[in-house]
Amino acid sequence: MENIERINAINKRNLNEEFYLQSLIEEATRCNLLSDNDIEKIQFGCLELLAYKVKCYNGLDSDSIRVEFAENIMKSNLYTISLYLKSFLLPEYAVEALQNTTISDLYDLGKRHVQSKLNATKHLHLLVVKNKLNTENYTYNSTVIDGIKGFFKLYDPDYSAHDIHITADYPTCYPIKNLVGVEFIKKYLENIYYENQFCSYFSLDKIHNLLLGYHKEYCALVINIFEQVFTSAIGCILIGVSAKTLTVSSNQVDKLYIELSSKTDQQIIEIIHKANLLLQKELSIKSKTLQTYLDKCLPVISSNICNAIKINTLDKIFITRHNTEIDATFSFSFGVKMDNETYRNLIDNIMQCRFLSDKIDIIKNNIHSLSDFEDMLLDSELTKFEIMNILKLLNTVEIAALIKRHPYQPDTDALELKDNEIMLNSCLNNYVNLQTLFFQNQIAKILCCIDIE
Amino acid sequence: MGFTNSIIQKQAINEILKCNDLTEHYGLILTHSQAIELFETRSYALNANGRIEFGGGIIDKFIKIFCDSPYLYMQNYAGTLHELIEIFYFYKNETLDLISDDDLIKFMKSCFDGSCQGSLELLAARELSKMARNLRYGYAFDYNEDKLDVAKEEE
Repeated sequence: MENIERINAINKRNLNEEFYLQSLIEEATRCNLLSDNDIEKIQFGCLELLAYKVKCYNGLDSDSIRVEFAENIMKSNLYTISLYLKSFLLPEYAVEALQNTTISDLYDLGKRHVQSKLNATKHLHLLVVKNKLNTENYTYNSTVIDGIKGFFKLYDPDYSAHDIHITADYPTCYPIKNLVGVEFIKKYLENIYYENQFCSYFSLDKIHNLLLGYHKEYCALVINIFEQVFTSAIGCILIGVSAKTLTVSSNQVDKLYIELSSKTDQQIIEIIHKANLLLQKELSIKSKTLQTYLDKCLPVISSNICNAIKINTLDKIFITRHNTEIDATFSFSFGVKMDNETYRNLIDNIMQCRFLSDKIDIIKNNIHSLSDFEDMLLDSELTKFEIMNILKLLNTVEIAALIKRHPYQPDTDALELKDNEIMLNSCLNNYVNLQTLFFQNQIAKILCCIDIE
Repeated sequence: MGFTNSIIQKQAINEILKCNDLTEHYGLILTHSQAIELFETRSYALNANGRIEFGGGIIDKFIKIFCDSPYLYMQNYAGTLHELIEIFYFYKNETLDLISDDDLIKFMKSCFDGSCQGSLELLAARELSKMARNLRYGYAFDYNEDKLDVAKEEE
């Protein structure tokens, strides 16, 4: 007697969340809960409602409307009605409402639901703004703050209640399926709220370093931050270190691979499930809703780990934290320029020289800063051959500094640069290409960390 | 749904035929079969221009406004109405629905009787095209650049 369950005519699984009304009518007809007369009445009601809404849309000025606008208004009407029908505990009650209430009344009731959901979503957005993750990830910031604001500005519950008008580019770890309109945004913000809540258990620096380990340019990537943090935290639990460190070394990843590769998928899922419980205990996560969200996301993480073990890419899942100290940049100064009069005489002398060796001598004896050297390369009307030979006077760092200031961009140079600048850029590029691979790698490394003053 | 369509069609045709009471003073009368053809032309034009219409439509509005035109007589009456209906829906799209039905019909009437002198080609290709362009560019629908130039030259 403990397991008494009501036998429902309509199977909830057959109902589509996105097109609820249409799927409800389909299912109800299949189960003989709606007669042909009922369906005709519903169709009439929908057409009457559409005619009324089109009149409102046109402002009583026009009787006709483009088909695509009419379709959009129809979709909006059906979505609004669906929102009310979804509020019933059982689909059978929703079918009864369809039979006993006119479509325009159902629409009015649905509109109240849209409005209350919109208000709830606005409140949720305020909460998300408060617990927002302080990150430089562009997609996160532009979607969670500006994108959602854009939604509130553009959302039109009267004529396109089903449309969100924005793209919500930042992905959530637990994907949202079959939801549109205000329902989608509400669910999206809920997910973001839980993800932010979870990330708030870790220090921002650790999250930043972890994401740097994922990719140096993570700020420009469309990635889910929570997924990386959650995966890394699970990894920490698996290797037996504090989750708050978010640090899994490459040696530990190798050990983990050896340990997990002998297990079946089911066993790995169980191990990860246990790690999740330990993680929640370690972080003292008391919020039931957050726990539920973590449980919902766990299959995503487990599946990633199982796949990574199969193709031996566990190091791409458990990211090795980036060490910021390695990335120290250094500043390079081009030095002080000589006075104009002396510089003018120097350039005259160089230009009057017939032989390259004489020019090199003058340069060696008179130029003492890279800024003068750079000006000389541009102003003394040297040939390509001469520039290539004069560049030999510079060391690797000086060459890198010149390249940093004169990067080789064959597509844009012709439009934006002067002829002498184009020649210098091209010579620098040729000069590096003619050097050994070791020299080229050194130049590339220096270019990454040099900062020109 | 077929039942509903036939009721709507009957209602619309009756409304068209009722207009005969007004138009017979101008010597213009539509037969029952002509009224049906006009209704079919409206359906065709709506379909061809990707539009949908609720209610009786604009045929009776056209009849009431155009019946006193000096360029309409019994022989070209029905044919002109067919053309006007097609032109109307085409320019509803071209004007991006920025002009109301009544304003568009009145504008068509004033051009038809005025500068076009009863020519449907001039109405569609010159006057309405210019008007649609004005609306799309944010000018008043009767804005005329040529007139402004002449006025400037006179000054």
